[in-house]
Amino acid sequence: MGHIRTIKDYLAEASFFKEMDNRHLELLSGCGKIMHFDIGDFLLKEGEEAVSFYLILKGEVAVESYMPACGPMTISKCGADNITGFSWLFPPYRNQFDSRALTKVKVIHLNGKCLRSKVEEDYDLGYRLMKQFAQIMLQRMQDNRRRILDVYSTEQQVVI
Amino acid sequence: MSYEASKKYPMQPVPFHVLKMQEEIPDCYTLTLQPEFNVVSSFSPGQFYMLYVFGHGEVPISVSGNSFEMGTLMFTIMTIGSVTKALCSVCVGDVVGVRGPFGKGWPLEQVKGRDVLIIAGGLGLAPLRPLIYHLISHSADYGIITLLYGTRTPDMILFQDELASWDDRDDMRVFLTVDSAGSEWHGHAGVVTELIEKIGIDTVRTTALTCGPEIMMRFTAHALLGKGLAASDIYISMERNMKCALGHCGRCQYGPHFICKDGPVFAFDQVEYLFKVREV
Repeated sequence: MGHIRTIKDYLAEASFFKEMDNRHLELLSGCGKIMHFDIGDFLLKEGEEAVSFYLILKGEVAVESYMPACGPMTISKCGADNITGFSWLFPPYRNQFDSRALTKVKVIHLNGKCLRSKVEEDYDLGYRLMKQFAQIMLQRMQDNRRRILDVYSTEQQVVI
Repeated sequence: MSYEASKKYPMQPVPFHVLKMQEEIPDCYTLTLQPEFNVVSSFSPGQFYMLYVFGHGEVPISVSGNSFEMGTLMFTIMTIGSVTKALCSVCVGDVVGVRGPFGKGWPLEQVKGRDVLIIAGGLGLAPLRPLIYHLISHSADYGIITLLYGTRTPDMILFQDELASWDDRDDMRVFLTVDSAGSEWHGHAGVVTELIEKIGIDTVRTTALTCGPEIMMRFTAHALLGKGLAASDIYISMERNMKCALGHCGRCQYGPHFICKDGPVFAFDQVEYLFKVREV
C-alpha cells in the first residue's frame, strides 16, 4: 500500500521550507490544509482580509490587478514549488492583488492567523520563516525594479 | 558596382531596391532589399550593414534574415531617430544604399557541440534570428537550443509565427515573457532574467548569446554569472552610433574596442570591466 503523504511531507519537499527542521515543519503543518482550485478560481482577492498564503503543488497561478477598461492585468505568474500571498504577514492584513488559477491548481493553504500566533510563541520559527519570505520578497523586488526600468525600451537604444 | 568593387571601396554604398516591406509590430518594419546590379555578399549571423537613406543619412542595422537565402537581405528596423524613421517610410521599389557586411558576428564555431541559450529583449530578437536559422539548420552540430524572449507587452513580440514554429521543434525550446499582459496571455509575466531562474541550465556546457538594450544585457549577464556561467561563455551584441563601420573614424569606440570592427558581438569577459565604467 502506498504511503499517504501528509501536509508535513509536502512542506518538507518544498524549496521554501528547506531551512525548516522537523519540529518547525510539524508546527507549520498544523496550520495547513490541501486545497484544489479550478481554472478561473480566485485564491486571493484584492481588498479582502489576508488570512492565507499558498504553496503551489501543481498548476499555475496569475497575480493580477483589475484595471478598468483593460480587465485583469497579469503582473506575474507562479507555478509549482512557488508561493503566493504575502499580505497576511503585516498590517493591515489586506490582499493587495488578486491571485487566480490559470489551470487546475493544487495547493497547501497555510492559515496566516494560525501562523502568526505560532511565530509569536516561537521566535526561532518566526526568524526562519521571515528569512525565507525576505529572500523571495527581495528577488521579486529586484525583478520589479528591473521592470520599472523598462529594459526593452527602444529609448534605451542608440538613437539614429 | 560589382561585389569585388564594393569590397575595394567599402565606403561607397551599393544601390539596393526595396523588394518588400512588412510591419512587424507598431513602428517596426522588416525591409527586404535586393541589389540593383550585383549579387549579395555572404554575411555571418550577427554582422551588420550600413543602410543609407539618400538625403537623410546612414545607420548600422544588423541583418535579421536568413544567411542561406542568397539574393536578398532583410533588416528589421524600429523607428527611433530620423534616419530609421526615413528607412521605415520607404516604399517598395525605392532605392537605398547598402554597405557591408561589417563586424564580427555570433561565435558559431565556438558554440559547436554546446547547448545554446539565446536571450533576446525587445527588438534584440532581430539580430538573433539569423543565428537561430543557422542553429536549427545545423542542429546536429549543437546541443539543446533554448530561446528566452522578453518584451513589454504581447503585442510587442516580433516574429510571432516563427516563434510558434520554433517552439514546435524537438530541438528547440522557446520561453516568452512580458512585463504585463491581459488575461489572454499564456506566457510568463516578468522580466526576461526571471526566466533564467526558471529553466534548467547546464552551466558547464552552455553558451549564452544575448541581444537587446544594453541595460537588459547587463542584467542578463549578471543573472547568468549568478547561475554559474563563465563570463567567457556569455556573448553580447553591443550597439553604438557608427559612422565609417571600418574602425577608422572612432565614433563607436568602446574602451579599447571599436564596436564596428571588433564587435558588435563580444564575449562578456572582453567588455565586463567596461560595463562598470559609466559614460563609456
